[in-house]
Amino acid sequence: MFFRIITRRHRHSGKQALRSSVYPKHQMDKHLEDRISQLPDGILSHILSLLEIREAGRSSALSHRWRDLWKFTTNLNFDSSKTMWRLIVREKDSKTVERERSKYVALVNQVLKFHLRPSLDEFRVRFCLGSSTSCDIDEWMNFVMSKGVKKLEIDLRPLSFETPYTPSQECCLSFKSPSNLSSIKCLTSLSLMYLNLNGELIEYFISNCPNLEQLLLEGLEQIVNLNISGPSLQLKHLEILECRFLESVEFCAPKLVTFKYFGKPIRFMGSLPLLAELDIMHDDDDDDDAICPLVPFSSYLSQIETLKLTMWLLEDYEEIPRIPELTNLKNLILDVTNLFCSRFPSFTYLVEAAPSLHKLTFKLFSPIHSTAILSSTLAPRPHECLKDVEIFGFCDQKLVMYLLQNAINLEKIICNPYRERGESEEKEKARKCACQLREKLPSGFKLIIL
Amino acid sequence: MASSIENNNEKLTLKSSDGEEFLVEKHVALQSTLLQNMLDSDCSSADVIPLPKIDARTLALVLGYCKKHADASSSKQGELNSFDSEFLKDMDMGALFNLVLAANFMEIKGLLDIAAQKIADTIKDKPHQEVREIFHVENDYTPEEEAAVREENRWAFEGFP
Repeated sequence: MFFRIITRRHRHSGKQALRSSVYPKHQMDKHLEDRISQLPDGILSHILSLLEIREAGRSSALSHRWRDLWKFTTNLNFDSSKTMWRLIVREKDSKTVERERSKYVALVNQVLKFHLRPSLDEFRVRFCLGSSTSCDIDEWMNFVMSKGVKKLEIDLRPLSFETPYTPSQECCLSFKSPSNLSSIKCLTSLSLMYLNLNGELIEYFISNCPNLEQLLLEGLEQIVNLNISGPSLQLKHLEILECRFLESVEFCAPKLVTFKYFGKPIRFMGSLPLLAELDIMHDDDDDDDAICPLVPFSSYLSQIETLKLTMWLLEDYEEIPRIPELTNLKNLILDVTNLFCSRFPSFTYLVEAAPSLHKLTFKLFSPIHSTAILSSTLAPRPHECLKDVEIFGFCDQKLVMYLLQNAINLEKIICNPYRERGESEEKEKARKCACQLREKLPSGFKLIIL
Repeated sequence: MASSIENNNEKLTLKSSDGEEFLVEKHVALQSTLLQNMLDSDCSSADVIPLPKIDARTLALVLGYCKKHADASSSKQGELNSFDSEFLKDMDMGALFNLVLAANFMEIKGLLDIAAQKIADTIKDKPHQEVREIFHVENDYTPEEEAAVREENRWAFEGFP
């Protein structure tokens, strides 16, 4: 028992219970008492913050007590991803797009008009608006700047052939006004997606947010060279995704631990002493050089502990580019679930460059991948540290047999025959195949089939 | 100032509104920001700390939660998550309200969050009449007043009866 009741003082009479505000006044009425409405405003607006904004707004009709509570919610979340993706992927009718857009804009405008809480934990806007309603969006930006927001996420991706939202000049100036500077300082997490913001403005945010720990930049086409630094930058997690025209990033981010980069190979400079986790998706669309996706990160590779590579079909190099040894790499995740073509350093090559590798995870899409993973210009060498392997989309025994021969201290393999688009028949076949493995394994070896 | 975490074996005594005393290890008590601030300021552990708004039954639950979270290492997040979801399962509304008030008063953020989430889940996707019935909320609007509120917040009621 974690505690001990030392004394069991005289049982208290109803008189004491009456004084305590958490107890109903009359036990007899207990089942009929409206206890929820007696909760303090702070708790009720906390509860309403957990509901979708329209549902929170509807609570106003419950009773007088509830009329204005929704105006003090701590989060304003206008994430309309579902409708957004429907419009992006399927909708061709411009009238429908217009109607959905005006509905969305009207909703945000109404809520912002009445909302009264001076500071917010979270403000999130996510809809395919592009530049269609720039004036309204400028107003939203002003709203955000007038409040202290901790977590800000703005995703306004345009439909194809449309231009992204560009804040008006007044709006950009107001970002930098002294009164708004104090709001910017509240930010702990900032996500900017598919907006026309120039690098200078983004650098202004970064260098003026002493509490910023997370930053995500996606689809920002105006940034070319980016400097991620600040006098007391606390940034721990950074994601830069699909910024097509980005050419270089210079860091001075002493606290950065994780970095996710999806895009073409560019230059990275500066020191990241705490960087331990890299997540790279290589975009090789129009690239003629056979550049290994790891090469741009050469100066950080020896310190990385976790590496995730998302690649599009494996292909061996005729001549493998030199990368430094991944001295500290303990955890390697290879995601090759997408079925397009790109260049990739072979698995054996990576494993040989990572002498301390402990855990290896594969995400496969088809049997071709397990064959491709093994093809290599290097002769395999025994690996001593590798203990733990997990295979998602397991489909044949080749990979496992290879590992059993070369990873001499291997302890556990998890085979998951599940594949996103796989037929159930195929899955059953893969499962049987995994079961047959048992006969080939040394006794005491852990094989888990999911 | 940091003395509160130097000695894990130190204990302190909490007293519930109905007079029961609970002996609690300090590192467990530190899950509560209120207690942490009290310990940081001066409060010697010999004192009995009265919690006049929390009854023994609720306090026992709160301390159970704190104990689990204080003892689990951060690597066991999955285990904590399943503990959290089991913790409130089958709890009646009265007990849940006591718990949310206690978590709010003692400033235990994690517990406040899960209790608030549970209440929010109960409200979610239900028409007004049902919410009123579950929580015994009396509709004190006149029909005209209610219509006015609905009109003012029309954005929220669109497509909703």
